[in-house]
Amino acid sequence: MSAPGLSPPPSRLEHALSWTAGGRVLGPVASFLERMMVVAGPWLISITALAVISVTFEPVLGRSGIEDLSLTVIYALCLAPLTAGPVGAVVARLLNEAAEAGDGEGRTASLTLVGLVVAGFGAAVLAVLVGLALGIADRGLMVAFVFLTVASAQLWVCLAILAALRAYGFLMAAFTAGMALSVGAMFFTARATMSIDFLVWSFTAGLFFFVMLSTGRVVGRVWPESERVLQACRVFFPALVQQRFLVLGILFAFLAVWVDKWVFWFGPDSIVSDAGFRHFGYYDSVMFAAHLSILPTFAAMSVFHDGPLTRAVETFRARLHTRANHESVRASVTDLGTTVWTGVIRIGFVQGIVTIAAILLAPIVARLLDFDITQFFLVRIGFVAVFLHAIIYLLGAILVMSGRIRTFCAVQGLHLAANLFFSVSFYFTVGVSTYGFFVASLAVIPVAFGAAHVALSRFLYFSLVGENESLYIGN
Amino acid sequence: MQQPHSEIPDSEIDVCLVVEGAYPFVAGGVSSWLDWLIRNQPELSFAVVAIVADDGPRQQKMAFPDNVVHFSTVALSPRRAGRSRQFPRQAADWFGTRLEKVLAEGDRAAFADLVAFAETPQPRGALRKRRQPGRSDLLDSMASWDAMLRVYEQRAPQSSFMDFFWAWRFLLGGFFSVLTADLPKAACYHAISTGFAGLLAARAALAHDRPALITEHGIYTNERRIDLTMADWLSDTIDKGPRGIDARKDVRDFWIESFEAFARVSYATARRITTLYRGNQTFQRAIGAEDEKLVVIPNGIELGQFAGLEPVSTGRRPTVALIGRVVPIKDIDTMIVAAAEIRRNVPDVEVLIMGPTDEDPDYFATCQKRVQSLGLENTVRFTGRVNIFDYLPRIDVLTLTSISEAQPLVLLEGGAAGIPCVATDVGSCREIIEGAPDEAPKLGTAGFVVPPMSPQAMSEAVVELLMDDALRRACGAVLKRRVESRFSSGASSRRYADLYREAMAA
Repeated sequence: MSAPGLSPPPSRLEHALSWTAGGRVLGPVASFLERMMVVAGPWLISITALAVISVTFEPVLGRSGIEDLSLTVIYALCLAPLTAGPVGAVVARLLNEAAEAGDGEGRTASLTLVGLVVAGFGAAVLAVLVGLALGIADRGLMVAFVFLTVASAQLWVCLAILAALRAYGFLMAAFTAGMALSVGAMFFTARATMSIDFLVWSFTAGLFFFVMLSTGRVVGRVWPESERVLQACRVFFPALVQQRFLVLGILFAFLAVWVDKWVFWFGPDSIVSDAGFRHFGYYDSVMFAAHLSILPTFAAMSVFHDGPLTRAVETFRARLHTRANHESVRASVTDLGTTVWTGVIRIGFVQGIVTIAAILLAPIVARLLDFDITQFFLVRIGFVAVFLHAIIYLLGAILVMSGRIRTFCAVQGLHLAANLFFSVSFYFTVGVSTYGFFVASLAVIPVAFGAAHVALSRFLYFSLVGENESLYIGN
Repeated sequence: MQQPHSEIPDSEIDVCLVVEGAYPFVAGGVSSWLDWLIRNQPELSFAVVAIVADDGPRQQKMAFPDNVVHFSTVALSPRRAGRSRQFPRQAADWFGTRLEKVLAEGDRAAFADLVAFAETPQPRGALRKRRQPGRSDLLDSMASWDAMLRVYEQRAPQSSFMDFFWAWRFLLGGFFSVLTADLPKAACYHAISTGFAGLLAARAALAHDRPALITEHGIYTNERRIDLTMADWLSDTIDKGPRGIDARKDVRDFWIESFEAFARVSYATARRITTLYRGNQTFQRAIGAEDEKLVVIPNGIELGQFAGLEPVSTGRRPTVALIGRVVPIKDIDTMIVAAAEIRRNVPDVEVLIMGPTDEDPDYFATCQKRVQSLGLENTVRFTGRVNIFDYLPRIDVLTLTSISEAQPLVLLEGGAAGIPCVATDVGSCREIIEGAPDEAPKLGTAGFVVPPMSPQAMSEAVVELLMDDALRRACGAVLKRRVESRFSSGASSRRYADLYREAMAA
């Protein structure tokens, strides 16, 4: 019998589970998977669900129906991050600030609600504008498309907030539940009706379910009072303006990834689906496959950020707070720089290996995705282009960590402009190619690297002066 | 905020007064003296540049005389600060070297170079567009940062880096505010202290090739040294042990040495450096002021208002008075303890503490408790703010127990009324009571000078005067003659008029 006040020792099964799942063996793997879910979960699940639906129900829905369904989801997932990304980033920053100030609990719920409403509203506006511009005639599908875009935006915001709260376990569980509902509902609907908009609604239902679960987790049982929500608005909107360069930088980053696709969607060779969505599947399928190869970089960067990088930054801050002399502070900055470059090089190296593997496996990829010989060559260049994009992403993360937000915004803007320019140039000279994205990324890397090098070599200056926003009150 | 009475072109302004932390936003002391100075030079036009802490709204406490034609403020730490645009590396190295020389040595030539640098459009930013540097460009640039690191490594490498950083932000932020402020053009520039006011006058003198003057009531650098030595918001990183003998420098040392460097620059650039009494000149020389520039111009009082005062000697108790604010620096507590000793020898003595009691309520409460604990309720009386002319005829001895003073006007006012004084040996009290070394003919002693914080010495001196009518009358007469000959308002204003005439003609 155990002594009072002491819990009984774990059973052998509990010990084994804890050792494997939470220990050194599977712990890092679990952590990596959690980050993958945050950065690419919606895409992965959507693509998987659409692939399964396409294969299973094409005889029933027809090729054009499957195409409209796929494009509705693609457009929604394309537009949603344009509002959700910036809003989620600002909300996450405000939550971190509130947590550091000891007011985390008070602000989390109200800021979450404000973020969800703003991102959803922005996504709705974007979806309506895009739908009207494309001339989508089917009103039922148009409405479903708008709501899907709203749900997608709110899903991305929830992912950002749960990641900021480090609630990865809940995130995985809720996301799985939501996606299971999406896929299950789609299967059920496809059997019952041939209406594409009902399928879209089914998919949307799962996303909203995840949003509802996440909101419940964050808000709790008691909704914040209206005064709290108003207070959150008074904090959020000025923060949106104050952090406008971060907002723009993230927006440019998303646009830079998509702009080459849009060049083809709105180029002379573009195809218009029955519903009115413009696309160019010949190029899209190549680049979507290529972009999947960057997911390990996103996930690894997230793990690195929450681990060695955060520790190095906290050491640096501790030196400042404990009033260390400059030699000691400089040593912590040097360590931080070493940690950052080591981490970036390691992630880049691993990504390089993944890219090489992807290139070597390109024949298999081409066969699985039914590429023709041109697409086979395109996807190999695409893998390299995406690898270069991964480097830009890593260097951009260094800029954000160093507080060089304006430079980050400029680099992402440069990438966007370069991708647009080179994609158009190559399209009208060479024809369909992935060279636009490749050359744009290649051209931006030296600029991004130079900026990141300066940011780290002058980290102390930028932290205390150059990028210390508290010194520029009123701007 | 009141605007000056008329705006005339800058080129026609005679004297630009530069004042820090006083006129027109603080009443009393230096502000009253400035008001007197301006009004007593009615034929001259004045600009007033007030150096303030920040650019927040302020209430003006003193109205401008008619001959103030320009007023502006310079904020040492403005709330709105533009973003920095970086200098090219060559300019950065040059800039950093001169900053080091100013801070380390108070080097006038380096300061002059920086003034010229701040006045000249410089290539800045990524496009190297030429424009005049702003405060933020100078303070927030990498050049300033690199200069800060060099100074830190030279001066206080063991100190807390963050403490040093914020000290740099304040000191150099104020320095750059001075370098980049808009300045009226005047025939001469008159700073009423060293510190940032002295720097601004020095900059104006160099930029406009006109003379700079400095007048110090208290010695700014000494006062900052005392403030900084006692400051509890400054923590020491370096433990110098019980004897304090350690060559290593802490941030506190950097603060003090920087103000000394500013003073050196101001003294080196000024044409004339005036103060109220000779004792102050010792401190000025110690910081590098050249002898030939030093001038003593004591404060003066309007003698006419004391002319009709007739002493009242009957129907009242022997009366001792201390005229001053009830604040720690006046050390009212010593006077209260001395009152107990005085009463032992003069049982019916009345000790008046005449001055406002609302500036430091906690200290006033402490004084009241002291009175009660010593059973002096019938002896010591706090009058609050009063018209001293109602009391002067009935005062036998005037006392001053201050820990620090410059040239206390109360002793001059008491002297004008023929009242002998007992004062602590601070500021110019010894010169007022015993006469300046160069007094000719020697008039004699007007009372007693005692050590600060010594109730015993204070009470013995007061009792001696109370018990000896002849001594008391003689001392009062000496002080009256001394005040009339050296400390009249007319004499003082004539000397300032001469000072300005010489400067404007240069």
